[in-house]
Amino acid sequence: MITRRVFLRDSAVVLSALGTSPLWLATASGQGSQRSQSSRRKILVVLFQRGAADGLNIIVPHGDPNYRSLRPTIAVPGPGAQNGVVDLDGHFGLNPGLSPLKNLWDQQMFAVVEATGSPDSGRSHFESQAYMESGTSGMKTEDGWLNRAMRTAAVPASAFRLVSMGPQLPLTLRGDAMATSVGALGGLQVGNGVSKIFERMYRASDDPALNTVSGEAFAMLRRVEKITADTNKPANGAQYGIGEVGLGLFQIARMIQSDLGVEAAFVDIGGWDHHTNESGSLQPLLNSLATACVAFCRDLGDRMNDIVMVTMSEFGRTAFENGNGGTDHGHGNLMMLIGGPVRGGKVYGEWPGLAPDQLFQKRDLAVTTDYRDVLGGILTKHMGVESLDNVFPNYAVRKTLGFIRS
Amino acid sequence: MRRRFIPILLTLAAIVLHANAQNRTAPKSYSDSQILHALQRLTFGPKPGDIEAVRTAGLEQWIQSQLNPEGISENPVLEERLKPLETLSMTPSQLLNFISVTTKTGSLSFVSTVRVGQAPTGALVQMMQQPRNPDMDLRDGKLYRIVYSNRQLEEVLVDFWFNHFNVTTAKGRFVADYEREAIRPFVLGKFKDMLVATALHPAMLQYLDNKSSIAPEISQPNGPNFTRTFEGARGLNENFSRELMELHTLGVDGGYTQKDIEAAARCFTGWFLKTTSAGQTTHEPASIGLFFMEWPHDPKDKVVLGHTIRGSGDREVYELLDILASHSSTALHISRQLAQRFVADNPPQPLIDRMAKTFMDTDGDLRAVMTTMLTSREFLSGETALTKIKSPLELVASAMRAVDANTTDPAALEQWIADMGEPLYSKTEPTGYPNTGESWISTASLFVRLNFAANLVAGKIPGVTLDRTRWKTRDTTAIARSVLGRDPSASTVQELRDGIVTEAVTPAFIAGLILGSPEFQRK
Repeated sequence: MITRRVFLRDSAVVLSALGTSPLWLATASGQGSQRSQSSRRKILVVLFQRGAADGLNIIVPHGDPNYRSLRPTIAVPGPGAQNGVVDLDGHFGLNPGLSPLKNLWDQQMFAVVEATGSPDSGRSHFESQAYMESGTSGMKTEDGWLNRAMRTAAVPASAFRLVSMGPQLPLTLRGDAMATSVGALGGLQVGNGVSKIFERMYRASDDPALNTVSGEAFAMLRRVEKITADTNKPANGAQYGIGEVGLGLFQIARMIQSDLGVEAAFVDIGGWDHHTNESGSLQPLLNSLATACVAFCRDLGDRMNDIVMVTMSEFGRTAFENGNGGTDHGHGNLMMLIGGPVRGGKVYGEWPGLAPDQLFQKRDLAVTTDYRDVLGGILTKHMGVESLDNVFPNYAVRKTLGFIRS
Repeated sequence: MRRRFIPILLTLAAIVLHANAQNRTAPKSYSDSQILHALQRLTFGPKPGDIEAVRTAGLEQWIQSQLNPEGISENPVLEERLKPLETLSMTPSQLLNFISVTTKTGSLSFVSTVRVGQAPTGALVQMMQQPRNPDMDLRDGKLYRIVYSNRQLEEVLVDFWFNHFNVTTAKGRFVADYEREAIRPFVLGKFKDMLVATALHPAMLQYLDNKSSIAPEISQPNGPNFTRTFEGARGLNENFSRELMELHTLGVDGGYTQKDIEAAARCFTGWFLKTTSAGQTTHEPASIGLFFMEWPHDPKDKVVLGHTIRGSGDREVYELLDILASHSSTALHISRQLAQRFVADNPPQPLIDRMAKTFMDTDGDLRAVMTTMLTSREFLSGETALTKIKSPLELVASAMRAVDANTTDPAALEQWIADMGEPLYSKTEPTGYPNTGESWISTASLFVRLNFAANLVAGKIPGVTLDRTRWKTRDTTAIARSVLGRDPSASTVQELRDGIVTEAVTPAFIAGLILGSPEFQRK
């Protein structure tokens, strides 16, 4: 236990971990947390690839006769070639950056739904993101689809039930159900002298707005004290790597391991808008994603039987490459599913093909599965949401793809 | 510090001639709290000594000098900091060539996403530092200006107006040119000029998709150009004209209809960004510029807000923007937004009305509108002092200025601002960031604010230095006064006294606690 006196003399800063590692919740608290069977909630982790990820170079349709000719300089080489695709089923293969996911595929914990997207054909990042986070096509709502899906009260209530790892709450999580952005807990060390002085100042303040917010904030901090030294490091030797997805999933795993009551978690991953020099940037980005996902599964072990991770992106990119070694805003994309409940080792959805007359508006992968069919399947089959009427306004789920084990 | 006020006195005579009738009152004396209020709102936070300097110059005279930034000599430190940021002065064409060269040589990775969600660690800071790209120049330039510029009101206004006419580096490349050419020259000029400059800037055409909009009849099966698309578009793009009315000019209740939006969009058809690739053999540089083309343009007459705009090709947009800029709804909308930023989250309606009247009387002269606001009783009385929560940018800037800190590499500061929820030049929605204060406080961002305060004075923010021995006393009230520019609340003093139980605490540590105090969150 660090005493106030020692702490103040030695460091004079709030957090000792800052600047070195994401061990943001290092704490001296000795309270243990006994995990009980009843606290094993079903969990959904949403990974949002902001900027329109290029699905065609992520899960590569190497068996499609048109793939290579559409992308003369940026096509991923075939299976067996140097830095080539990691074949999955003879038709699709992983971008080599995703090769860590092959094990999960073989363990049938990883599936892909191909040619997903929204019927909305706008290609504006912010509008399409807003619509997708609203759970609509072409209409923005005040609250997000995941918040509406989680409106039923949880018992016991938890401030960590819906969490996002960024500084601001994404639209996906905004709404009536309590949701918290916890990324920024990143460092305020629990129980040290400085946080106590801050808490005193804010509690005594007659500034009503700051007084209220700080009350909630410090109350949350005390719940975080449940995280023990045992749960504050990755289990089973998991290595998350650096980058926002690694840090985000690492922190979510800590909250899950510590039984803070997480049911829905959201991670933003930026950097997908590859208009230029795509080959150089996409593979490392995918590698950080795959490394983090594999680490998350390893870290959480058996707990993955209750967890589904899903990726989404506002739209796909043009089937053909542009003049700058990149791709432009397109339409259809794909969603990846990882977790124990996922019936993995399979590519779901109908492949529309890449021939000129098969492309949407002669330029993009067509959409054959509405993104809400995928999310709806997860919500009903995995999360136990009974009705999707309010979750996806004006939309009735059309397809049951069967990617969740029953 | 002293340098800032010499030119003020020299230009005073000229300023008085510019001033409106209503502020030609006898010099009045103002309390230090009224002076502090003006400093909090017209600058990115007072620096040590600012209150005394304004008191000496006279508050109203100081405000007039800030309204005439051309008479204020600029801080040489700022000029030195800005010099290496070469892309800040580039035209879109120059930038295009710069990017294509650096992309080919592999020295530039054009990822414009700000990393959020994690305070910068050693590795992340390193990643942020290399290699340089135009977005970094843009953010660094902003940080240097708000920390160092002597023309503080101009910087506050550039921040306000950029946000009003928001674009983002996540969608479009020419943001530095946009701020330099379409925003900065007009912040104390004519609103109409800024409206035209923003509407017809490549950055805005990219951001709100106006670069690819075609009269729908033209691309219909019986239309003259059925087989052609215009910049990939087969129809009208209303994205820009909707935001033009809702956000840039009239305001959401400004009295326009969907028909007006469509008619305005039709005026804008045919405007596009023409890009010429670099010649492979001739070594001609690439270029990009705004062009108007007849064939995708809707040639018919349009009716917008009751005005008929005759079909006249590229001249229609100027007529349209003129109608919008001189509309009484625009005068009210702009006045309200300014008053929200400078006076109060819920500004008094009589003040808004007087500002709007000035707007209408002066053909949208923004210096005149600002003068009406800043010489008003509502502002000068200080009755709304300390009612606004600082935005993340304001919090970081005011902390830097309060402790007289220096920066030679603001990347880490930018990350702190992003972690508090305001990644610079990265607001994807056209609404920009809110002008109101309350929306900035959340449970998560509060911790970032506290951590930032403690890290700043501990010297733990890379690229930032400060003299940690500048406070010579451990007296909490004295330190608080130096940081806040005023007395701290009794409760804060009490809690600091009770909470700090060891002799080992340094004055700088106490200053960090003050920077994280409830008092410092407001302006």
